[in-house]
Amino acid sequence: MKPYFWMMKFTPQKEWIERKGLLLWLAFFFTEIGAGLYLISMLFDFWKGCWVGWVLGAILGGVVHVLYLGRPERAWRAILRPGKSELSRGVIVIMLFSLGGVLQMAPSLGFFEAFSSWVFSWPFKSIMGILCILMIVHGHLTMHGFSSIPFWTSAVFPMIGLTSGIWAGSQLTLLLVVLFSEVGIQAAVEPIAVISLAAYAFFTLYLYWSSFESSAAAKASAKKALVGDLASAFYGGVVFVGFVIPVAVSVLIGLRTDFGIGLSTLIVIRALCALTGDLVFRYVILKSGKYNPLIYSNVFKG
Amino acid sequence: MSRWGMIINLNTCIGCYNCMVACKQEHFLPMGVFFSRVLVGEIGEYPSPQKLVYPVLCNHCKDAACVEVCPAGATFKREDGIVVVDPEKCLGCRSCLIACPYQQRTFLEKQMAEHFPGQGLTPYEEIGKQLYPLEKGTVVKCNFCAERVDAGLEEGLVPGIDRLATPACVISCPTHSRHFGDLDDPRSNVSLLIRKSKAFPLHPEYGTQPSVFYILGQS
Repeated sequence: MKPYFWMMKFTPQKEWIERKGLLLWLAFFFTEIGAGLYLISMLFDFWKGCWVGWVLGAILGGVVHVLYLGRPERAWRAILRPGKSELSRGVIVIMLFSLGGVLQMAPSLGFFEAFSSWVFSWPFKSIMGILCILMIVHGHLTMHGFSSIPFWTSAVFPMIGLTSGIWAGSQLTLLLVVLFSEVGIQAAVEPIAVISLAAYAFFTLYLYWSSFESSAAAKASAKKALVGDLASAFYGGVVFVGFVIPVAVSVLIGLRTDFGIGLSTLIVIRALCALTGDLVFRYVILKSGKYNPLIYSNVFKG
Repeated sequence: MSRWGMIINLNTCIGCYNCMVACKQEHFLPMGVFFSRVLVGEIGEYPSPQKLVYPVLCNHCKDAACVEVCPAGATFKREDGIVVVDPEKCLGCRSCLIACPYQQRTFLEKQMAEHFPGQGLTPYEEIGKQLYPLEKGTVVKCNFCAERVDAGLEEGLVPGIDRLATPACVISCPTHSRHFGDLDDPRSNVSLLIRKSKAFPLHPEYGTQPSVFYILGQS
């Protein structure tokens, strides 16, 4: 785009997906899958899963969030306006999750065992569950708050965040179940995985369908993903790897047909596809965010 | 209290880019950073195409989206309506950049480099570094030349009337297409012009109540 054509057409946002902005994409991803894993693992008292979830969400997600900032040494300032800024609220939630996670998991390592009855009780688990859900939707909710990018303001945006987080979390849990050979949980997690995948697919379809009925900028964003330069990433990464393969594998698991591959292998394949699809979908969503032009011109179409 | 605002007359603007250059000079802006820009576009088709020239800058909105989303309180609105960024508080999260529907903010990714690589800063650049120490990793934007406005008011001058108290882009305009003044004063030059010329802000549907207005097609 030539400099003098700036803001004459639907301008893509770049700050949150190019150069250092790629770190925010990863930060949102790690906090979402980490919290998803923690939530599902906590429901089934699978504490090894909780540990991995905590490391992914709080440590990796938190550190990458800070590294993304232009002035990381001022990161503490991000908590100053929770009443106004969604980013501020998200950072506070990550901090509370980090603290709560340590308290809850310490007894499993032999520390603070006196508190074990309290941290494993349902009230504390409920608090941690709420924190996990808030962390899962943190990325999508942050984007949802920017009315300048109409595609992100769709009402289903937070729901996509929630369902994709639970879906990715369930897959990571199953992956760890296979790795740690705790197969007893697998049958219980499976229904959560299937329901969250169905909801995730439904909300994704709804997002793109509704964007075509929405503002011109939202439509331009959807077109960028469906028929534009992001089409290969969308159809290859999101649709095929993220939805088609997991659905096929889920059917095979449901029918108890593994073609000799083995159930564990199927679970690993599905989990890796789910995580890849989720990561690519986040990229597509961030990359396809577009602003309305400041001045309309018929030099450009769409 | 005043609420400073600007009016740009598109009927008389000749698209000379003088405002852009004056702004860069005034704030010692590094390469690639603009507080004031001139957008050029076309509408209509042969045989009656029309060229559009829109000078744009931060709208210093009354209900500024950038102020709302800043998690650190680094972007704030002064009592006189000028939206400014405190470089000491900005953490470089770029939420304000995403939130601004007018795209009038810039993230300063690199420290200001010398214009002639390897030859050190020119005397002009050294002065700029002292007067406007733009910080790497923070967000920068137009501040309606708040330092000129403040200094002028201290000396009893009237912004928009006296050159020393008026933004650089306004006083540098060769066709007097830019006007600066108090929007809250019904007798100010800008308030009178808005009423007389039916001036309009860019995209009022965004609901941010910009303080920059445009005149087009009315005399």
